[in-house]
Amino acid sequence: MSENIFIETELFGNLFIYDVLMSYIYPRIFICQDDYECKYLFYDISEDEQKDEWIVVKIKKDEYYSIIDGLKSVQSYLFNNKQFYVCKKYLDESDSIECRPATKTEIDYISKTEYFVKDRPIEDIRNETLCAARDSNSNVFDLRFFAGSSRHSIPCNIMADLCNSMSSMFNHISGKKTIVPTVSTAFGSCVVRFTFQDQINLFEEYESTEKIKIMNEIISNDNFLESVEKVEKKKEFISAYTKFMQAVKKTETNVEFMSAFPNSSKVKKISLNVSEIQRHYDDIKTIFKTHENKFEQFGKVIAWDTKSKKFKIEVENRIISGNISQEYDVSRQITINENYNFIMKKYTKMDQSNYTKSETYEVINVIS
Amino acid sequence: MVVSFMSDFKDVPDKYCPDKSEHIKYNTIFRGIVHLDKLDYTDFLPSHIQYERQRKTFKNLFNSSSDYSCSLFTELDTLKISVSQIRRLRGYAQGFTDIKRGVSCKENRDHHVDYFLYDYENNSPCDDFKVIEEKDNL
Repeated sequence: MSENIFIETELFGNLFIYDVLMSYIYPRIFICQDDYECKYLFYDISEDEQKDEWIVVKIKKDEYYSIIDGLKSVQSYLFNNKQFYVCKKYLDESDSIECRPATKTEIDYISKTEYFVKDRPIEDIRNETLCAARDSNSNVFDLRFFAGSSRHSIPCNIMADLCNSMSSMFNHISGKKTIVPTVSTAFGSCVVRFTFQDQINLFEEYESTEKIKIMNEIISNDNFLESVEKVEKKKEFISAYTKFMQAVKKTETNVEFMSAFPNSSKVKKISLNVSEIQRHYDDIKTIFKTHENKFEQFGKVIAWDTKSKKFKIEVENRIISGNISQEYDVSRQITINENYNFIMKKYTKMDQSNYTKSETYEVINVIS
Repeated sequence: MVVSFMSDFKDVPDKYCPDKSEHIKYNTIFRGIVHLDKLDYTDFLPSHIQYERQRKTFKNLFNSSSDYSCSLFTELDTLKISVSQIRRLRGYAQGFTDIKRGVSCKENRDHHVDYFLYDYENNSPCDDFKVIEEKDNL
């Protein structure tokens, strides 16, 4: 246990390094914690090689978060909280520690230039993703969590779920195993980066390019059933995508999905807030339920049978056929080859046995 | 990094030896310095001498790879921001890198360059740099 102690002081007791805010060869601005989890902000004011000197202030938990979220500079608390001077002198036999209230002279050594935590979020996150794609000469798919803060970690179980489901989803889009993407975290906010280091074909296309585009369509489309049509192995993909969205949902934050390709200057960015992520997740969970959508449609009557309750209409060079609703007033005359405005319902569902999508139409009413 | 022929570097562990093929010459480059009147090798001293004590204090938080290199920046403004909080540095020097002193590597996105010196004491780059500005330690 004593190996982890950073410094032993009479005033604060044993202190352990909790977080490093700025490092130049070694930590210069950092947070320590005592045995009672109280936090202390250490600021290096050393000038002499023979000793390390710091100005130390005690900070609360929310003050610590305001620093790492980039909302407040370290100077905000260094100048406003009670300052202490801590010095470690390096002597031949043993080092000596001094800890006392700081003098005005020592406080004046704090730079007036405000310092915000170094890993504060990059505003131009698109450029960062594009640079990553070009530097690695690979397609890149980023997930950015906690946008607008300096938080840069997510629980490892969420990370594991993201990684497993990502690999699985991409395999099932094409129905064949492909190269496993590598995962890394990127500078600035909490960015989980998937890099696809696949081969390019003779047309200079990456195998993962089309898959990433399909993935983007699925994420950005409100209608999951429609967007998943391009996926080969739907059942397996839906299972992996459910896990993926579940992991994303667990972060309880807005998420930005960004994709970049080394041969293109365009970066696709899709932002989903917490409620949109919840809705996506709910949609996947209810794909086997019948989804109903009411709309108005103008078309020409091809067939109209009130006995069998069947209809067929022509709409912009395609045919829509279906049922006439029980509620429809059959006394209303419809003429074949005439155009009408129809109030219709579309029922969409996914078949649970073969994961195929089915659509049925129903006419509710006809407007002249 | 590729392990280079060891005689180029003095006491540098294998894993920190950049190959000479990685050297990129910088004609204009900047460094934060301590001595305003006259530069000496201590302004470029690799940290394994200067920071031996801090290594003991900070243990695995100490950046060991920088033991054998000094930090340079290709942009003066970036250097100023990076060292704005470091009281000990008093000014900025401008100079160039040379393969006869060591290997200067590719700059990263923060305009930072690692300059691995063969022999920081006897073959220091201090003559290749001159002080251009005093640091405002306000």
